[in-house]
Amino acid sequence: MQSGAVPGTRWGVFTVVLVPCAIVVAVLAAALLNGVLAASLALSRLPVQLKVDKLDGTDLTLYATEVSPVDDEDRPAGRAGIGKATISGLCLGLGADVPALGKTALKVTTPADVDASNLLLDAKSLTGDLTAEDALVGQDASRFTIGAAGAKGPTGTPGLQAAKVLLDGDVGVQAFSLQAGSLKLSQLKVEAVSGTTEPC
Amino acid sequence: MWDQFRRFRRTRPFWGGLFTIVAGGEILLLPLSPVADLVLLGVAGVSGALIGLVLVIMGTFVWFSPANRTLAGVLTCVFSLASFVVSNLGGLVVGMVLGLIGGALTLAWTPDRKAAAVAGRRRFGRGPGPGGAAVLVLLLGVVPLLLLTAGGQALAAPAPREAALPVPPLPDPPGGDSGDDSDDDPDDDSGDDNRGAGGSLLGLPLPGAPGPLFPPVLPGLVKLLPSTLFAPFQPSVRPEGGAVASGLVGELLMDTLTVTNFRYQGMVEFPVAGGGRQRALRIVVDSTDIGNLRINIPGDDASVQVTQRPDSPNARTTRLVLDCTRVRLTIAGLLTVEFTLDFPPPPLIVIPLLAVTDVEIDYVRLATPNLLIPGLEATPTGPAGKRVGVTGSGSSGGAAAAGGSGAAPGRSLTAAQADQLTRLAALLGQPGLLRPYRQNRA
Repeated sequence: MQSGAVPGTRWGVFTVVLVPCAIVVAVLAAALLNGVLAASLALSRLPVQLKVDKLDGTDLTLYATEVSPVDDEDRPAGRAGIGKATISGLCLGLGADVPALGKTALKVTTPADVDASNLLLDAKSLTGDLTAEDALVGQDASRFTIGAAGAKGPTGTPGLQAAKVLLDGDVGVQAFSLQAGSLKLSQLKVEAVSGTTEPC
Repeated sequence: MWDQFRRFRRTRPFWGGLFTIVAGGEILLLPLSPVADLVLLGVAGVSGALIGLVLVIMGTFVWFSPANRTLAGVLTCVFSLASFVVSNLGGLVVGMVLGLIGGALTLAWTPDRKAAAVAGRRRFGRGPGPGGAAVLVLLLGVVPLLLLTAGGQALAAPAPREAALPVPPLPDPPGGDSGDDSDDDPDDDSGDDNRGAGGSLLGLPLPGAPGPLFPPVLPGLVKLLPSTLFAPFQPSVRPEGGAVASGLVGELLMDTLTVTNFRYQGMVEFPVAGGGRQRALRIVVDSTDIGNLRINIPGDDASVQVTQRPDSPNARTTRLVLDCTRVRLTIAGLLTVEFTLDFPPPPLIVIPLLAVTDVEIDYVRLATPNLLIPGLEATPTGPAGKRVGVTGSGSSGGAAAAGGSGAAPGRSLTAAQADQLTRLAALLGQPGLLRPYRQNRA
């Protein structure tokens, strides 16, 4: 690069700068993984797979929309919003078909409860046993009276809203995208899985 | 050409800038969410994009203003660290690591290593010494970062509710004004008066009032007011505050349906978000037990089909307020009855227990305090829904209303309809036919 030349990199400075950064990263990572700090998440263009044992949340909204993932082809999706949720038994899978590696996926699991707020997802399927309180189907999506930030939809599209929601049983979500305003994680386990895009 | 590039590289912290730009790009591109969504997400969404942008700017900045590399390097480190918290774990760690390497390379770069080495020994003489840079990063990084995350979390809290959930229906006070602002239907007022008077005369529990599970009813299970049969004008019900219809009517299908305290309350008119008013029949039941529930949440571009996995337990609700433009159901597997906006059910009818099959409902709105759908499967699919009973929303709404409910709102019964009604009344009067249908079959 510039060995022997007068201008160049002082590798001592480089190291000394990186060391405190590494310490900060370690502290932040520890804070995130122990649920002290909340991370935020916004993923799309990767198929997102979610499996949870139980989701206990408030301010559920759902309406139909169209998304254009990857190939710019419009696909129907259910835009679901959840204001606040406590999720137990979370398994989050991010899959991709990488040219050299084939089907690869990142699998994130945690045995502890995850606190999330302002979850927004464009689902291509959603299953589970639903228990809802104060449920309302047919309210115009632009006039939801509750919901996560950004959960409102266009005028003229009806939707579902519920003040409280409990999803359990065999809860599975396939989504085009997932966003979380904040996500408190602890005891996170991340692993790479090959051969599938749906590791959960 | 190559020499030029070589000179360009050597006169500035080129690699530091490059790493920083790549880091910013990665953090920016990873979410790839529509900007509108990110903006809607608020601080959490925008800050992620902002950090990516700042990193790209810092990387470029340091190329064209190498003299300011200390500031740029420190800020690069700080923003890279911040990205870990606010932007997808620093672009899934990759962007953060690239940014830190970039920042450190930028800080470490010097135009003259020999001079810098001397300066380093003189401590902070010229340019940041190693210790100085580290202290700067820590001071500028950790404190604002903690403030930022604390603030971000406070701001990321859910938006305040606009209004209380409008689920519990607020009935008109008896004899009160119908609250119909449009006043396009002169029958509304008389209908409203009729409902109020009838309700109090009969001692029926006022709809919506907290009352016993089974209201007092006359013997014979079914009560039909002859006067309402002979006077087919409709009572009207004021919609709940905050209730806004979309103008689209969805489909609700059930294989079997058992309800308690079925009652038809009258016509209800909702404001439509896009303009106009949506008419619907209001049916209220105290509990439901539904076999094979299928609800379509419609939309012009797409719809969501909610179904139940095969062999799932029945779906159930407590008190359900059902506003619909059409109900079609089969009683005892024999008689199929269809009610529409033109042919509404007889008002002030209360059926304590009703078991029907093959239910098709075009719903405007379903509201219930408790909803249980075991084995729910929500699948997005193509456009669905129709426009029925929408008035006063311009040309399209008018045409749709005309197509859906006919030219004149039905105020008189045709012979066939009267016959159907008579048969229904006769059937409902026979308690044996009102046992839950599935028990009959088994």
